[in-house]
Formats: sequence, structure tokens, C-alpha cells
Amino acid sequence: VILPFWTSLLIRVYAWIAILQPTGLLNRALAALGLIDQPLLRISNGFSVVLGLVYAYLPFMILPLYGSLSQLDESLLEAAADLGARPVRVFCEVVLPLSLPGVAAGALLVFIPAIGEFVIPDLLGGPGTLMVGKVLWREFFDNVDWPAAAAVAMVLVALLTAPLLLAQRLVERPETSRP
Amino acid sequence: MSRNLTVFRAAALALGFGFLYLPIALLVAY
Repeated sequence: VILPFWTSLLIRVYAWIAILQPTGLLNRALAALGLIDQPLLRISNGFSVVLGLVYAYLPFMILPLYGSLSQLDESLLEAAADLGARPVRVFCEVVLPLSLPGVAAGALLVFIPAIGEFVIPDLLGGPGTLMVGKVLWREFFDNVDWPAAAAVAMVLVALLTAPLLLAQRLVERPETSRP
Repeated sequence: MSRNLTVFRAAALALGFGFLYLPIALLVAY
């Protein structure tokens, strides 16, 4: 899972451009299979930005989730199944609650760097795909409007602070609700 | 039941690793 990190993110994003562009790998493969007549995938839209973000930050979500799930006691799953729970119910009522710390850690690990992301929306996104990092860059370097850029930076800090404070409160909450 | 789970796990692994390594495979191919 961490092997992609051996290559620079910038280079991997450029590889996604080569994959997603109208004459790129995926469109040619889909056309060769006879599934599409015209290019289906394009860059410079919201989809390509979301795909790039998911690609870049997927390992940050997988690793805490894996850590959380690997510590899960499998006898609990067997017990739930023995008591008649179907797999979906076992997942919803046993696996999910027990892996919530991993989910929360992964969500924070992804959210913090992803919210200020600049490279991915700049390379894979078009003029219509706005992200805070890109707006910051534009205000600082294109518009040279430093007061507006500073205001955007403060908004970014506020956006980052709220979930961090929430996570801190959840961690520090006394465990009195447990029986 | 167990076979379905094995197929699901194999498909999830293949999709996940395929997604993660597709750009790197392209770089290597170039």
C-alpha cells in the first residue's frame, strides 16, 4: 500500500493526466473494447480532481483502517454469527463500531492534508474546480491580493480546527457510558 | 458463503491494488 509513495506525487498525478486525457490509456482501452465511441473520461473536471484526491490519500485511510481491523477479535464475529446475525448485521453492529477509532483516525489523516491540496486540483482540475489551496495560490500569486489570501488562509485554519477539536473531545471523553 | 467472501476479497484486493498501481505501471511502461 505504501509502495506508491516511493514515487513523487507530482509524477503520479502527471501519470493520471496521461491515463485520463481523451487520447489516454483508459479511453483508448475502452474504445478498443467497443464500449465507447467518444472519449468518456476527461481531465479538467470535478471527477478527475476527486479521482486524484482519492488516489493520493487512499493509503492514508487504508493504513489506520487495516491497523484497526487487524486487531479485531474474530471470535466476536463467530459469536455474532452463532447468535443468528447475518453478515451485514455483523458488519453494522460488530465490525463497524469496533473499527470506528480507525475510521476517525483515517478521516482526520486524509482531511487535514486534502483540504489544502493544491497540486491535484491545479493539474487535474479545470477553472471550474475550486479548492481552498488553489484559491489561496490564485489570491497570493495571480491576483496579488494578500489581504484576501490571508482571509482565505484563516478560513482554512478554521476549517481544519473544527474537526480537530471534535476529535480531541471524543478522545478525551470519559468512558462512563460503557456498562 | 465462504467462497463468495473469498471472491469478494480477491476482487477488492485486485481493484484496490490496480487503482493504486495503474499510474506507476504506466510510468514503468513509458
